[in-house]
Amino acid sequence: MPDIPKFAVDRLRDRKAASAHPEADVLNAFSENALRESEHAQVFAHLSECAECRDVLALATQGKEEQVLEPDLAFVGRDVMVAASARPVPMLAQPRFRWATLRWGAAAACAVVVSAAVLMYRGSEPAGLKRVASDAQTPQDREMVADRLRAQGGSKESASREALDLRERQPQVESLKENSRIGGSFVMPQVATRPPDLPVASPGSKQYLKKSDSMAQASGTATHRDSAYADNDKAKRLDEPRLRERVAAYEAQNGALKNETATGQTENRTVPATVTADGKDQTGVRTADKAAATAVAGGAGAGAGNAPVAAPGPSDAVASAAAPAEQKAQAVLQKTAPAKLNDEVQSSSEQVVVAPKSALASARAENQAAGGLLVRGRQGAEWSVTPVGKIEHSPGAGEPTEIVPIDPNVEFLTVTAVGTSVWAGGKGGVLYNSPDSGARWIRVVPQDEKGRLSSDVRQIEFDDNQHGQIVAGKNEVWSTADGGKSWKRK
Amino acid sequence: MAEAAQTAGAFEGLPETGPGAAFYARTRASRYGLSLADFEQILASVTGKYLPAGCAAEETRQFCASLHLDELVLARACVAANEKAWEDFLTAYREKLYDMALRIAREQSAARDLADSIYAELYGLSERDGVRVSKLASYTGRGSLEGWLRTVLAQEYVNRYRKNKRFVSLDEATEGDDGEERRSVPELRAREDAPATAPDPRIATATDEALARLPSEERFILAAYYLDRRTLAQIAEMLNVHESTISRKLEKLTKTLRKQIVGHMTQLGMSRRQAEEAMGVDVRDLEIDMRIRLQDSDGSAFPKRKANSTNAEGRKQNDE
Repeated sequence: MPDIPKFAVDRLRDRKAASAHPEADVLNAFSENALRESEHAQVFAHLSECAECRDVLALATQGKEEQVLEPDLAFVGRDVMVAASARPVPMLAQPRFRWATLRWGAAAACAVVVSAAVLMYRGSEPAGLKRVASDAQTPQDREMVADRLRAQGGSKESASREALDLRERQPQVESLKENSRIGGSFVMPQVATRPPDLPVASPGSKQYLKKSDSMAQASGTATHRDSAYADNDKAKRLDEPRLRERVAAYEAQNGALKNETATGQTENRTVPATVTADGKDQTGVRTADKAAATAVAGGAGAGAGNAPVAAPGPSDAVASAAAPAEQKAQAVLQKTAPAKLNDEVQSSSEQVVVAPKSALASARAENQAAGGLLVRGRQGAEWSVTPVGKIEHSPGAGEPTEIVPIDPNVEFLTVTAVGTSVWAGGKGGVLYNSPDSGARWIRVVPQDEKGRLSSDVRQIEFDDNQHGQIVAGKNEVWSTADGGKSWKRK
Repeated sequence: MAEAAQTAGAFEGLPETGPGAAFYARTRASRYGLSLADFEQILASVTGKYLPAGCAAEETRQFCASLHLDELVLARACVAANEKAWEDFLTAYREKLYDMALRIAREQSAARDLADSIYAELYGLSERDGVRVSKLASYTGRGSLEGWLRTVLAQEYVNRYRKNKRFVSLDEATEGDDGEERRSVPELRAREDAPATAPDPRIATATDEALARLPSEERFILAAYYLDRRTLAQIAEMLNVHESTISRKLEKLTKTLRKQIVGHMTQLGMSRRQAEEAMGVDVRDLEIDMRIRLQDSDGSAFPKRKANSTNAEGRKQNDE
């Protein structure tokens, strides 16, 4: 963007505010595009000259998306709607549909996913799922479907229907095997489109993320469950250490999987541990009892799809496939085809027992395994960077993982937490610190006499919350001894 | 009662059973013990504040329809100390108040302070002439109650902490309205590297003119982007539009502004080449000089300026 010369900036600064500060009522109405043309212009005029009021406006509107007005007392209504239509729209005040746009964007992605899934089955029409998928044409429908699916997780009726569908699709699995490559994106092409969607979603849409995940899962579940266990052994062996690491990380952080069945729950706790300890998944699986096996298989079904995966793309998909499946598939599997799965499970040389609680948690686990930037050497790491440069946080212990909004314009590259102080660094020398585990973020600009930090922050290390250093660009090292207030370039 | 009759006049043209009542029915005013008359009084006060006298009935009706009536009713019922209203208000907003304060103050104790003091003001702990004064009375329903609370919090915060020069950001960009901080730096630089030539005064004039001709929205964006150094996303949030809108506008805007400045410069007699050169000149030099010149009434050329300032300094020190 062409800049304006500095002298112009100065002249701009020196203009004096002629009008009175608007009161809170007016300023708020201004920010919600509720003023009339003339009033709106007046406020604009004042704002263009008064930095204080700009500050107020910025503070008042920051992170507004997360605080989408909730009609707690059924306040929303025709009042607002009438307002929107009755008023001429001021120049800049086009309604912001960020939320809606993203829903449509990812709904479109879901459509691609779903239709690709359908196409992949080459004519064999999985009755239940396809119907479900094709019925859900609009975002609202999709969510309803997703909800319904999730709700139906435990019902026998749907379970048997699912089983039927799944079994129907067995023959198709063979063709899927051809897809598998070493370390490659075994998983269906449909999911290649998914990763960009997940993290790009705006801050307030973490619920939305889950919904769109469950939609993809609705279509993807069955495919992954049966994904060729006889996948490339070589691929699996290559990935074994990574998988173990992933499981360990996940376990350390998340503890038990929250399941609908108690036994499944207990078993899940122990089985992964066995897996980790022995490194022999087969053993782990065999020693577990049926419930465990099915629970595991539910995860493993998705997991085996995970196995050859190194790239975040497929892993995201599979992980997300694993997620709702955790509830749905497990119920399904437990009730319908435990024996079969046991066999399959045992026949594979390796399972990934990642049974994540949520799509995001699993996606994150995948990110980490796939080389996403894990917090260095910290067990039970809670902070990570998604492939597209957003910061993600898993509080663990029953809380869902969420993307933490800091600055939408920044692509983050690394994040480190020390105590309650979290540091996130990204491209262009962007560095943020949160003293309170991510509730608030402060932009930190290291600079010395030669200038500011402007190269990409690649690594952050803090010994305690005062002493630390960052590595940026081509071996630029900046260090601080006072918690980031002042920096020295090495 | 006379008052009521007077204010009811604001609704002339609106029959009793008309929109006033319709609006009333849609709100929960009755739940909070507000009669239709009370309600109409409230509406009247709002319309009286924002609508020109003698406004057409239809416009009044539309205006009222654009208000967040339910929230307005809640707020006014709270002012009237209605129990239920307070209950509802607290359920809906007590926690949010704290969260919003935290978002603004970014630090636990300051946020709690802020939230508590705003809460006190809302509750009306102060009394004037024996009547409890609540800040909620100033909410008129033109925007959402939640947004209003946020704005009130933000205003209070800015008043408290900005005045004490407490910068929450370690970013170098300081608030533009206080030149203190920025003045010192350019002065240092001035002594280090003096520009070879004095800047053309026509540049300043041309720029002023160009800026004056901009619509205020565009000046606002410029100020927010260049002075406050806000991101496009932040600006978009402030204006409730999409980020790309701001991006586009800003780009068009800067191009236009540059052209305008050059145009004005040539009008003032500078040659095309001079003008374009000025646009690309080393900005620091220009900036320094600009600021120093602006602070001083006599507009002598820079080199002399420097000598003068050092003399002035020397003299000042001698005096002390």
